[in-house]
Amino acid sequence: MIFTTAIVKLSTLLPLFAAPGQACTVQNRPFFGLPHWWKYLDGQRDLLNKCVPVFDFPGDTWRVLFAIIDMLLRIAGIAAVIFVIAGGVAYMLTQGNPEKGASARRRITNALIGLGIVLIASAVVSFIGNSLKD
Amino acid sequence: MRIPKLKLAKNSLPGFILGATFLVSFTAISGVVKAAPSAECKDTTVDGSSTAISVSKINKCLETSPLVDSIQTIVNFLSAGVAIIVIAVLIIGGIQYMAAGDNPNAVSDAKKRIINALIALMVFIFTTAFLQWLIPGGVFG
Repeated sequence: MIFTTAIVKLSTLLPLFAAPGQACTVQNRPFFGLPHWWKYLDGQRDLLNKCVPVFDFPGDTWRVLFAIIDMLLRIAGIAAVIFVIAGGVAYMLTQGNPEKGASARRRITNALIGLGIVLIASAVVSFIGNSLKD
Repeated sequence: MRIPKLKLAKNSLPGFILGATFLVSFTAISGVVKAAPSAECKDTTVDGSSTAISVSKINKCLETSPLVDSIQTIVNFLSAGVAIIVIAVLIIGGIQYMAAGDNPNAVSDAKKRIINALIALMVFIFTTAFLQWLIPGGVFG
């Protein structure tokens, strides 16, 4: 009796395992806002009904690189905040010394210039790439 | 006469990757060249001897040739990556600029990296424009 109920329960579970190869969206759990490398890849159900990304070599290479660019943009934003704060702290600790003040100011401007380069670069180059594609 | 010593450069990785790409693509191309041409591109008479070359036949051959097809694939693949790689290098240069602090040498290093990435983008754009002008039908499939 127990055996048959177990079989019935297993058979109700079976549809869960029944559809490998089905398209799906891979679950996205960012870490510190960093996206995954499979962000732009298509998902597929495997034998255990888990949704896994599918990577095929020549076609999906640039999609993975796009995800890496997203990670780099995120890292650049975090780094800009950190370096501007570090420059501000250095400014606070100048104690009226004009040389230290100039150095701290240069630190902050360099951090902001770097952030500007990152933002402008991603915008301009993707614009050029899109217009070259057509 | 002094013979300069062959030394592996400090930043030889990009050159190595480029060389490997060329090697792989040329190996692939040479493998395709040896393959026999398809049947419809052969211009033969009943007794099997080949006749004069006709333009339409050549065009058909070019369209069905595995060599042209694989070159097209390689060109499309690599040119899709150019913009992505340039963006990646520019972002890395920007992060380097941020991390430079008040050190002028580090700032000039970051500037050099950014300028080199922009030069690469310009070279690609002008090469593309030149080839689109030169080659009838364009280089991108």
